[in-house]
Amino acid sequence: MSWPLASHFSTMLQNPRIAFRDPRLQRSVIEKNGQNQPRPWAGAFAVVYKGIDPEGQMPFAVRIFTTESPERRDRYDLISAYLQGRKLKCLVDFEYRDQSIRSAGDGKWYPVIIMEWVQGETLFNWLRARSLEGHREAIATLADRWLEAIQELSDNSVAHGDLQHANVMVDAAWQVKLVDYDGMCVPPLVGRRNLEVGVEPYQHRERGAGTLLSLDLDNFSALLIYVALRALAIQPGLWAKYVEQVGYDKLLFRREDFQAPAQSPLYYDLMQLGNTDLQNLTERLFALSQARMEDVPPLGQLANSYAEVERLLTERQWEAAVDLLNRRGHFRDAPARLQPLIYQAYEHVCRQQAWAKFLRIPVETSEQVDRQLVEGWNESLFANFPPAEQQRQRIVDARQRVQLLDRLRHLIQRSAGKISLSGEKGLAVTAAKLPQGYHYNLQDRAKLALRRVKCFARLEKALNDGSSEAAIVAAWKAVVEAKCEQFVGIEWGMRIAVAEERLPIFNALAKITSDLPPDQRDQRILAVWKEKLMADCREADKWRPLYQMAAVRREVLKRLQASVDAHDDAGVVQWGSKRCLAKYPLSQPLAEAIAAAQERIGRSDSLLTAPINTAEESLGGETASEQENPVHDENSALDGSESEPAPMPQELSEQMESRSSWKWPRLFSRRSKPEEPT
Amino acid sequence: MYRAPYTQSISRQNKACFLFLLDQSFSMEEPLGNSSNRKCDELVAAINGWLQNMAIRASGDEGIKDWMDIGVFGYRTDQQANPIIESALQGSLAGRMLVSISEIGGAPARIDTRMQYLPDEETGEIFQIPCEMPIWVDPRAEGGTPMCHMLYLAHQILADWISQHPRSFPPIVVHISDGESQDGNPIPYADALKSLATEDGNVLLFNCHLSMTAADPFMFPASDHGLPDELARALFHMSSILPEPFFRHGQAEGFPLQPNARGMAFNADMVCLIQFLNMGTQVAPGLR
Repeated sequence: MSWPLASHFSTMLQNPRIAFRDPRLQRSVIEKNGQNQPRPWAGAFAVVYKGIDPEGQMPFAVRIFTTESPERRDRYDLISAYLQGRKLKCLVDFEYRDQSIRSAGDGKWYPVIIMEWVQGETLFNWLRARSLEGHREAIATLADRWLEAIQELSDNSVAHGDLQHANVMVDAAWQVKLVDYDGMCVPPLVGRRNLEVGVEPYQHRERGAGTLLSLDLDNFSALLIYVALRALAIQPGLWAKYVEQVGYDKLLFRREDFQAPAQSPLYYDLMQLGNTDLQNLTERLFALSQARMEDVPPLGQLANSYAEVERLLTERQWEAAVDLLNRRGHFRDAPARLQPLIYQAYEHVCRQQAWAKFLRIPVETSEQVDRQLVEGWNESLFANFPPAEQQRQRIVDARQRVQLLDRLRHLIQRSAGKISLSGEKGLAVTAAKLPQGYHYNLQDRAKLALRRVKCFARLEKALNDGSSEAAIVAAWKAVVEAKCEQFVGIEWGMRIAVAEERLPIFNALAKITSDLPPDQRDQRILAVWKEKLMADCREADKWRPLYQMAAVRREVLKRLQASVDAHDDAGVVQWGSKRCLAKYPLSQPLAEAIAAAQERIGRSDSLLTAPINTAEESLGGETASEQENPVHDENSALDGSESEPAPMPQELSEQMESRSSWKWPRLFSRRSKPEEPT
Repeated sequence: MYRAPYTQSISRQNKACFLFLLDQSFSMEEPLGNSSNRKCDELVAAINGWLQNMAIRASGDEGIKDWMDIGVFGYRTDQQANPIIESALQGSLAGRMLVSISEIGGAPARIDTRMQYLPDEETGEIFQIPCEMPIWVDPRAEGGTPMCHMLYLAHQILADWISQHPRSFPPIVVHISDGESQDGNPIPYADALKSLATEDGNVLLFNCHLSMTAADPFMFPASDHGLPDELARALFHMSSILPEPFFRHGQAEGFPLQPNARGMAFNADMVCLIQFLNMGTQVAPGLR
């Protein structure tokens, strides 16, 4: 069955709800004409209708094909895929949708293209209006825009395939948009059959059914339209003569002009406009119309002739020359005598651009700016360029800093997230070479490294010194906070655990002051003191006599009490008269018991002495401690001044030998649950 | 410079010309094969659709492009067997011989609201849609078949047109009837018509015979052997041999064409008729 007629789709479009498959399209509104019929815009192979999107009320184009083409789907897919992400200014977005519109002929589904609605006029209408109003400037602008659009296609390796007055839209800002991509060629389509041959006279005479798609397909049509634009920009009256008055519907040129240029009044008129550039272009156009189609060069090369380039170069208009050369795309074919000048022009322009960019870099010292400086400096362009040379030292400094920063980054990357003392030292040392107040991305990391190094050193010092358990614990806390516990080995760990155990004891000891009565002081010191823990603690030395005195006193009191309980008057007197109890506030019963015993002994005049010796032997060394009682000597115990420690009672010494029973719960629990490494 | 015939691009300078010659005799009251509708109804539906289609295809930025002249003629006889040959266009265009497509597009006689019945492609269900159709031609079926008179008038009109458009793509004449000529042998008139020519080639005459029976149609036969009757053979000889571009198009459309195939359809139904009508417009170059 043949492809449906345009009228079959037009009938359906009276009812978008039935015409379209897509729910959103179903709710769209199709613009109608005066007869209440959908308003069509016809092309060679498709009819376009204007729809209004129900969401957002934006206009869109529905392009419906009027002929069948087996490869259409495939080609549009390739074109879409190629254009994806390229976003050419002169093209509009489109989407090929299979099975999307119903035909009123057979009720079946057919493809459509949904595309952006181009606001504006066809090139024909736009040019007609501008020509008739004599708006030379607008037409000249459009000629430049045309050149840009063609260059954009060329730069992106896209050929439109059917450039003509109705496929070129001009919007209110005089921007050019190309529509109708049925004949488009992109690299994956090169070499395929061309399914349409374009429109006379825009296409080269060799363009035909046998022409294969190529990226040079637009060369002739782009040139022809460009010449027409340039000619009308110089003499808008040509429109009236060659289009308006004769009812022609193309842009100036006809097939007959190219068949016999000698008899073409248009050719004659163009050559008489007195513009050398246009004359050259016209001659090229007519010559190329008779040449082989593949010999027609891209518009960019023709439109920007070397004559103009040479003029600009000799006038040292470097920017203009480079601009023109850029529009050509390349200058491999430039005459040899121009090559050095072209090189000079590019060098000049590149230097100016690079220098302008360089000067925009702010004057401050930070990584961001330093990197911009290093990036922006172009040695080959700036060497011996006086303003740049003045800035050279700035670059040298910046480069050094950037090298340091790169080294920092390298060090951090190399550690791969595992920190080590040497690594942190390396970071800290490197970072220290950067100036004070310098802002850089890895600043926080470098600060952390320095903090780790410092807190580790502090811990090391505290441990080596060993004079302050609080210092050890505080240093350790700092290490933990800096998340570098892993720097600390097992031996240090054990020592730190001991310090942590000791610290509360010292805190409690510090609260025991000399103004406390001796009995309360003894009670408190005996409650907090842990003999095993404090045994080889240097910091405990100043407290040790106090503790030992309390321990002795506790023993003496125990024996005193025992003698009282045994009604052993001699014992009572012996223990009660110990020097260590001299200023000790004894309880009322004990004091009375001692007084009573002394009285009884005095009365009986007894000779009993042996029990005293026994007691003194068992509490060996007590005598010495009695002489140096730190309780008596307030300063020695509470001020930390050196004093000979009192000899230890036997039981206490024995207890201190059993170290193997010590436990370091805090230490081991920390080992089993290590902190996250930083 | 030589250019193959039938390749002139159609444009405002080189307009195209289409002529439709419609049999309006009494027998057009009969139903068309494969359909319950009268031949005359199906025929005007096809012609109205063709005109609408052409108006759409000619639509551009500033309305409808003036690149095609169209004549739609009907022929029949009155009660006294006098031939009535006249434009079949109705409304404001009534009585005009050749009318440009821009005028046609802008002036249908009226807009009819019709119900269109369509099968859903997926479910097969028939659904109906109301649609508004522009109407230019109304059905007619009365009297006899003065074919020679019709062809003679067509000759006069085209001779005149060609003198004004000597470089154009040649006019295409599509003649649709359902029976024999009743005013003489049409072949010489057809030959005279076909002998007219522009620089781009001879006038093309395509003949389409509508059938009441649902017999197999003969499309584009290359010889008169095997044609069922004298009427078919007469139409065969009246019809132009398909020029190269038409031949290629027919092949591309899937017709098994033999060399020298002619622009003729016999026992055509509605589907054949529409294909036949559209052939000319699909081949003529540059219709855009």
